[in-house]
Amino acid sequence: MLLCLMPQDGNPWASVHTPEWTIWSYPSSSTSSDFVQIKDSIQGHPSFLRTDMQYECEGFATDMKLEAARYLYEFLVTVEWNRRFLAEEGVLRCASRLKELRELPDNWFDEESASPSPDSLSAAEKLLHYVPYLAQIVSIFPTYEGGIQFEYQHNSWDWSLDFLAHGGVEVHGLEIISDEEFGLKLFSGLNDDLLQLVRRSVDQGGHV
Amino acid sequence: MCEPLTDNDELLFRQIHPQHAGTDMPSSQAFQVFSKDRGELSVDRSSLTTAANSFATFRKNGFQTVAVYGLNVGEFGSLEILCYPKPLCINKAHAIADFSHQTRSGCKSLAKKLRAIAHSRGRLYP
Repeated sequence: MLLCLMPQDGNPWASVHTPEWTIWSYPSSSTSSDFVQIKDSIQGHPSFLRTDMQYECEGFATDMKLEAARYLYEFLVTVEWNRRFLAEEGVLRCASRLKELRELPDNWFDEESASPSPDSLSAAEKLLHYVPYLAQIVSIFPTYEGGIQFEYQHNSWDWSLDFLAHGGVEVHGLEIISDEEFGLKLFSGLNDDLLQLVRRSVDQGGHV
Repeated sequence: MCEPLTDNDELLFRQIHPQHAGTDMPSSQAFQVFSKDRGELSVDRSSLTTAANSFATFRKNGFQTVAVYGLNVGEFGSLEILCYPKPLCINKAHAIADFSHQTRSGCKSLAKKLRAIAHSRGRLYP
């Protein structure tokens, strides 16, 4: 029996092959970190021997094959359930925070500070819709000039996304260990370039 | 501007606005100069006040704060930021960290580095 774990187009999938049957598992909307979690867990399981990205199940009788497949299936379901639970929790937390900020008055910091603009709030909400994983890791703050700031750390990168009061999004990133910098860059709005950058910042090691 | 602070071990207190406090760690904006700051990040000197007194003075002067974090002069210096005493009539312990020669992108990076150092030291008050 052979268990394969392979990332494909940024998403993990897993399969169990025997001469008689094959089981494929696709955790929907799963991420690379799910994949690593699955891989690490499988590696620690005494029934599997690793050969690069493939895992040979040694000495399994037919019923044991079924047990291994069940193990894999349950593990993937657990990962998926946890992911959904965390995502829902994150979405609720972010929605609550954005509601708070919608009610933040002018002069919240001092007499020159502005309340978050409708444009910045709307763009922030839309980005969470487009990249739901962000909701699990992002901290949300008002900016002095009437915008919204997202901050998150992922794979040793420290990112900030500033939704400006009158449209536009400024992105800045810093690799915490090497000091490599993604210099401040202005995007005109939630265009494809920005969405691609944000997705890569949370899914592919932060290198952009 | 007068002579910069030279005691690398002197801790400098930074007040954190409630909206920038966060749940796990403060926003990097708490360590970033705004356009109105003219490149000067306000701090208080531990040689002249305590974290608790710095917190109380800040509030007494009408500003909002929920936490005090700190970095020492040497930590600012390691990022090539000089700090200067700048006493005010309402706060004799006041000093500033000079960001005036930094680009906006540079200020963002520095704010993140300062936040990381201050966060690793932990909240000093309350």
